[in-house]
Order: sequence, then structure tokens, then C-alpha cells
Amino acid sequence: MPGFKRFISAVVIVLLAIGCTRAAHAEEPVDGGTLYLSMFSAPRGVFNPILMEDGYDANVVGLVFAGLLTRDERLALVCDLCESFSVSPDHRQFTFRLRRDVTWHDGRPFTAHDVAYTFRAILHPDYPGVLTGEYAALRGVGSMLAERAAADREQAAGRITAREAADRKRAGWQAWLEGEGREAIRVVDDHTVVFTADRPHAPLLQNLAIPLIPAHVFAGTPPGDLAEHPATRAPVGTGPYRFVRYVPDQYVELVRHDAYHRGRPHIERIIYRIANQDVATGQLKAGELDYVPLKPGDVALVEGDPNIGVFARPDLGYQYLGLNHRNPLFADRRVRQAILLAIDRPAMVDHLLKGYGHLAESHLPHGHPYHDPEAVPARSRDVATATRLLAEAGWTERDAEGYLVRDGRRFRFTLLYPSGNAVRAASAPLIQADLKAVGIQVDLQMMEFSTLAAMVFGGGQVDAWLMGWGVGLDPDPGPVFDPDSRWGRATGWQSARSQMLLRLGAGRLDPEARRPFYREWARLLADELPVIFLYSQDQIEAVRLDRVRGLRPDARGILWNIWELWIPPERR
Amino acid sequence: MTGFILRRLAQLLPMLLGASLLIFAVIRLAPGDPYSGLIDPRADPAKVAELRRRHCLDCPMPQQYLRWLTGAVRGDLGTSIRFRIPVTELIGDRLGPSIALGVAAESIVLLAGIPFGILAAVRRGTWVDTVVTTCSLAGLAIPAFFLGLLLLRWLSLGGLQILPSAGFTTPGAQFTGAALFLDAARHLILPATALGVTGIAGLMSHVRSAMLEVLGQDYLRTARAKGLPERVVLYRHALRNALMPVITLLGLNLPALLGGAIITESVFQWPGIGRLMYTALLERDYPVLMALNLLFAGLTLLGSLLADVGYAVVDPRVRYD
Repeated sequence: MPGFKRFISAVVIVLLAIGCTRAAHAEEPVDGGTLYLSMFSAPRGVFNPILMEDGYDANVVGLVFAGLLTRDERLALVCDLCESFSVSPDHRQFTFRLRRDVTWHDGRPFTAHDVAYTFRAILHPDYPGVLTGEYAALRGVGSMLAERAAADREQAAGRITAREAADRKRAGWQAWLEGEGREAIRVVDDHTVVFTADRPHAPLLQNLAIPLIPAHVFAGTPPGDLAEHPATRAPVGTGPYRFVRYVPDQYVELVRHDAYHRGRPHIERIIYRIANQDVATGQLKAGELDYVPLKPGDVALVEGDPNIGVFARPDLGYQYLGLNHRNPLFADRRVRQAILLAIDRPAMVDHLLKGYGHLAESHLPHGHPYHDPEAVPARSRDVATATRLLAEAGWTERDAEGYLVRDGRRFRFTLLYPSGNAVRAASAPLIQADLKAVGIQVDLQMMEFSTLAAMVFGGGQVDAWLMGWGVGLDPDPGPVFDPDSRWGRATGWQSARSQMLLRLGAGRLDPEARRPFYREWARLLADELPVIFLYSQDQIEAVRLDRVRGLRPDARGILWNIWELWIPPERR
Repeated sequence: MTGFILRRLAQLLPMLLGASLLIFAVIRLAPGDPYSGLIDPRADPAKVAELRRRHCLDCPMPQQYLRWLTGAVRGDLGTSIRFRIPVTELIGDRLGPSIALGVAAESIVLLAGIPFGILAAVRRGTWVDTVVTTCSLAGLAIPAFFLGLLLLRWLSLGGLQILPSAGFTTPGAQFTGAALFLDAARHLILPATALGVTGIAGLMSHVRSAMLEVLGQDYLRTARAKGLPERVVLYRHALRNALMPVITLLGLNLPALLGGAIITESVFQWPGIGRLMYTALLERDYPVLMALNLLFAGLTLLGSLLADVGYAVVDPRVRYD
């Protein structure tokens, strides 16, 4: 493990060194050229930041759009479309002073009205996306959403018709818009916008950072019809690259936005190709692609190539083994701890991920700004302790086949796992073998993701499953561990202490004031194990160094400064 | 004959209706729905429930089917739930490339399968037969994706590097007319080869065995006895009779032409129907699944009709009255 880590940082350093030496004797960046990026699944073409539900659409949205805030190299929130932002002393008001030099790709100036339009569209009752709940902390929004839920319940019970429910929601919307809504989102002037919350709620700031859509383009479109608006498929943004076309299943073509506020991009054109993961590495080596996200197993294929740089960084997400706490087998914390200790998680990181990953011990993975390795030290495999913990929980006897039995029943459960993620699928039989070693029988069942998700989060009685979580940069986990949410109900884990710590953590905005709560919460989770945390996987990116210059890779990835990248004329 | 075709076309409608009911039922038997895979904690459950209602996913099944059917009768196959555009547009975008790939691959199958099948039958038991049969079996044994990767290695990304590796056209290039055709044709060579080669063996062995059966018949001896040149004997008298099973095979192959290339499409990033079908299946995009399955059902029916017409063309004894 440490060897691998050293190797990764060595790669990063080599990459940086190459970048530096080349930059040293090369002249100034030169404009022009086409950059060929790749992704492995076709976007749906819903290039609207408030409607997309898919990470591949997000790749394109990230280049075309910009938000009020972005991340710096330490992943802290800093201004992007704003000149400055300030938080009121009571932590309930956020004031954004907008940049005056920002223009939309169609040439119109960006103003505070665009900001207000974006968030009002999300809160509108007819809005056809799923982000509404993210803004429940804004003034009056919580009670408006509660009224909507009440109308839904009435309708479900048959007391009012669908039309009446819709009318009631619209009436509530109008009332909010003319009442508390004026405070919640207030346009002070063309370049100042103020958000007011009911209570201090830190995750709100991250949610206010989402990419913004142009009010003038969507003006006059009922929010219910946003999905059908042409600009949802041919977007107009303020980001470094302007959308040209999407040829379905093949590529997205982008051209630079000359008036981009962080500097005119050097590279003229971007072709975001949809590639096959098994072929993309070959295309990178042949020079057909400039950028390819790599699987851990493919790193060896490009390692010797001096023209290809490999960059790995922690991914903010992790894989876990979910357990149904309502099943008496898993109700005992010691049993859950025994399962975690019995599984050879380091072997997964070393072999399945080839060292490009870390053990996950709690919800905030390695590389997360709030991850604290002191609070949750990595645990390696410990069969002896696992056996002892199981014995303490009453699992002492073994049957003829060596499996644990209690009251005549064997310790046996079914582990469901989805197809699709090859590494995760490969981890299932390892878990089965490791648990067999401590006397637990695991039956494996693979199914495709939609089916599994419907069973796990749809209230089905599932024993155990493999899945992953993406973790936002804000440490607040949202409803994932809330026992009343569909996510929390999947495990059935309840902890008043966790609820309290999360409430306290979300109620403060200063990172240093929040840190102790999340440290404490991470420790609680590592000990309680609502799920068995397995591993987090690094994101590995490979780039053609002979073509792409100006790289400054950091925690944001390798392409974060895309407008500064350039291609030497002789390599076009 | 015209009456027969018209009658069969008229039967097509009730059969499609039945097929649509069956397809609808089977699709809905699968667990989950278009939103069950959406587990992002940011997705507001109340909002998701509302979207389910908007698509009538919580309506009783008969009502949902009728809703779909009334739309379909008016030519409205609905809007994809995940792509958010009309299904006809979604399928229309991919139909052209799919047909191009299917026709090119099938041409390779026909152009290689029939002559090699005849050759193997005529030279039965000789080294020619052995070589042809072995090669075609090897083609059958190599999975299309593996052959695809080999072709990429030899002709595109490594080796000769003369052909493009992926896609339907050169990305970013705005060709029109002949230039577009040539560009697409260059992109078509590798996927069509990968897909076609695996199909040769099946057709070849059918042609070979059908030919062998025919070659032993008395009327061929008669034809030879009349002094007809061997070529005429083979192609006019033998092949025409041997083609019956081949026509059946081709007719039933029609839907596979369009939707049977998921893996090849994926290796070469060919923007075809197969991959759309796969995505829609994983995500339970009901309107897309309904439309595609109905398309395949229609093609199957059409294929068998074409096969029946084909019999009449090659075999004068077949008459539909």
C-alpha cells in the first residue's frame, strides 16, 4: 500500500516536472487546435444543469456552464461568477456581488436576474427535475414544500383531485413568491443578489454553487416545459466552452467562448468523444484521444509511454456492504465489526484497485476536506478479533461444515450486488471467501442495478447488498443516514447521536467550527457501522503530454484549468 | 400473389396489437421503474414521486397501456423518460447507422456464405471443403467483440493504421454528399467485417448441406445428361432449389440486422439501435422499450412475409392464391 502511494505521488511529480521543463523552454501558450477528450457512456443530451440526472451530461455541463462559486486547490468554495460573497453574522444571509465582465455564449450580459431565475425555476411546483429539496433551508421554502407534500397526501387519499392539488401548489407558490420568496432570493441590483435562509444551514452554500442557466433564453417558458426547451439540448452558458453540437452516441463538439471571464481559452475546439473503455487506451496511445479516464488495471498499458502522463487523485466516493439492521443477524454492533474485520479490504485495494484506492472507514473518504485519519484509523484484516467479537455476540458453535450456528440456525445471508462496476463485482466473491473463513455463509446473487436499487431502496426485505455512495464536498451526508428517508430506511439504522451531530455540523458555516462535529460523527459511524465501509477508489486520468501543455493538476483533477491549456502548433 | 401480400399485411395489424400487449406486460414484469435507479440523495423523493405521477407510472396497468396505445395509434410513441426527447427522434437518429451496419454485415455474410457454401458442397470431401469449412467455423468461434479488437489492433490503432477506430463519421468534420458517404463507408468497414465474419459460417453450412441434398437429385443428373454446362447446372438448377432454407434464414434475420449488434456497436462506438435498446433496458425507459420492441416485432413479421414471397420467386411450385 505505502509503496503504491509513493508510486502515485512519483507519477504526479514526474508529470509536473515534465510540464515545467517543457513550459520553461517553450514560448508563450499558442492559440488554436482541437482537444480530444473521452467518456465511456453517451450523455443523454440533457445539458441543463437543473435537469440532468447523469454524470455524462455533467461532463459537458461542466465545460459549458459556470456557477456563483467554484473550488480552489484545497477544494474550498471560492468565487467564480461573483467578485465576492459574504455571510451575515447570524449565518442566515449570503450576499453575492457578481462579476460585471461575464457574458452568456450568445453575447448577453450575465446578471443577478439569471441567478434568481435559476433558483426560482427549481422551486417552482411544475419544475420537472429533482433538486427542489436541496433548497428547503431558504426562507419559507420548507413550509411551502410541506404544504405541497400535504396536497400530495390529500390527493393520494382521494380527498382532492389532481387539478385541485396542482392549483393548491401554485397558489402556495404565488404566496411564497410575493411573501417570503422576496426575502429568500432578493435581487438588489443587476450585480447583487442576496439569499436568506430560515436557519443557518451550511450545505446550502454548496447548493448555491450549481451552474446557472440564462433567464433571457428560457424567458416565457413555463417551468413545466423546461425539458422541451431547445436550450436544454443546445445549452447557452457562461463557461469556457460554447456548445456546438451533440452527435448522439458519438461526440459533443464545443468551441471556445472568447469572452470567458477567467481568460480567453487557448484551445479552439473540444471534441468530447464517447469511447469504449477497452479501446480508449489504444486510442490514447495512437494519439486519437488526448484524455482518457483509466481503470486501475490499464495503468500498466501506458506506463512506459513518455508522451502519456498519468494522474491519480482520491475520488469523493466509496463502496460499501449494506446491511439490513432489522435482520437479527446484523442487529448486534459486534457482529458488524466482526464482518468488517473479517473482510480483507486491504487486499481489495492492493489487487482489485492495484493500489489506486484507500480503505474506507467512515462516510467521509480519504481526500475529503473533512476526512480525519486520526479520528478513524485504517483497520486491516483481523480474523482473531473478528472471531472473538462473534463469540461475544453469541456465535460460538460451529457445524460440521465449519459454519457458525446459534439455536440450531446457521449464520447465513444473501449478498446482492449489481453488475456494471467490474471491481465491485469482483469484490463479492472475495467477501464470500473471507466471511467463510470466520464461519459465515454468504450466498451471492448478481443483478442489474435498477432491479437491485428497486429492492434495496423500495422497501424490499434485502439482507445485504453492495453499492457505492458519491460524497459531496460538503460533509453533510444529506438524507443518507436519516432513518426517515428512503436511503436511511434501507439499512434501518437509527442513532439519535448521529442526527444530533449532523444537525450541529450543518448549523455552522465556519469550517473550523464544523470540523469537530464531523470528526465525532465519523468516529461514531466507524464504530457503529451502519454499513460496512469497504474502499474508495482513486480517479485515474491519462493525458497526452506531447499535445496538452499548461497542465496544473491538483485535487480538482487534471483539466480544471482547461482555458489555460494549449497545444503546440507542431503537434496539431 | 398481390392478394396474398395484402391479406398478410392486413393480418399484421392485429398481430402487432397482440405483440404490443405482450411486450407491455413483459416489460412491466421487470422489477423497478425508470426512477428506481435514481438513488442520488440529492433527488428529492417528493419530486420523484411527482415525476412518477406525471408519467402515469402509478396509474393502473390497463390505463397505462391504453394511454400508450391511443398515443401510438395517433403516431405518438411518447417521450423518452431519461433522454427527454420524442422516442421517434431518438430512434430516427440511430436508424440510419444501424441499417448501414446491418446491410453491410449481411452483404458480407451473403457474398461469402453462398459462394463458399456452394464451393464446399461441390468439392465435398476435398481439401477445399476442409479449408472453407474450417475457416468459416473459426469465424463463428471468434466472438465479434474479440475479432473487433483484433481488427482495431491490426488495421486502426496499431499495425497498418489505415482505418478509423470508432464512430460513424469523423468527429468534428462537417462532410456532406459524397464526402460524407465515403467517410461513413471508411468507418463502416471494420464493424461490418467484425459483425459479418461471425455470420458467414451459419449461412455457409446451410448452403452447403442444402446444395449437397440437391446435388444428389435425379433432375440434376438429367440436366447434366442434357449436356448443360456445369455452371448452368449449378446456378440455375441446383442453387435455386437450395436457396429455400437460406431465404427462411434471411427473413428471420431481419430484426437481428437492426438490433443484433449491441457488442459490435459498443466496441466501435457505432451509434446504432442496439446500444439504445441496452441503455433503455437498464433504465426501464418504458416508451423507448415499447417502441423498439414493437419495431422488432414488426420486422419479424415483415421478415417472414418477405421469406414467403421469396419462396414464390425462387420456387415456381409455390403459389399463394
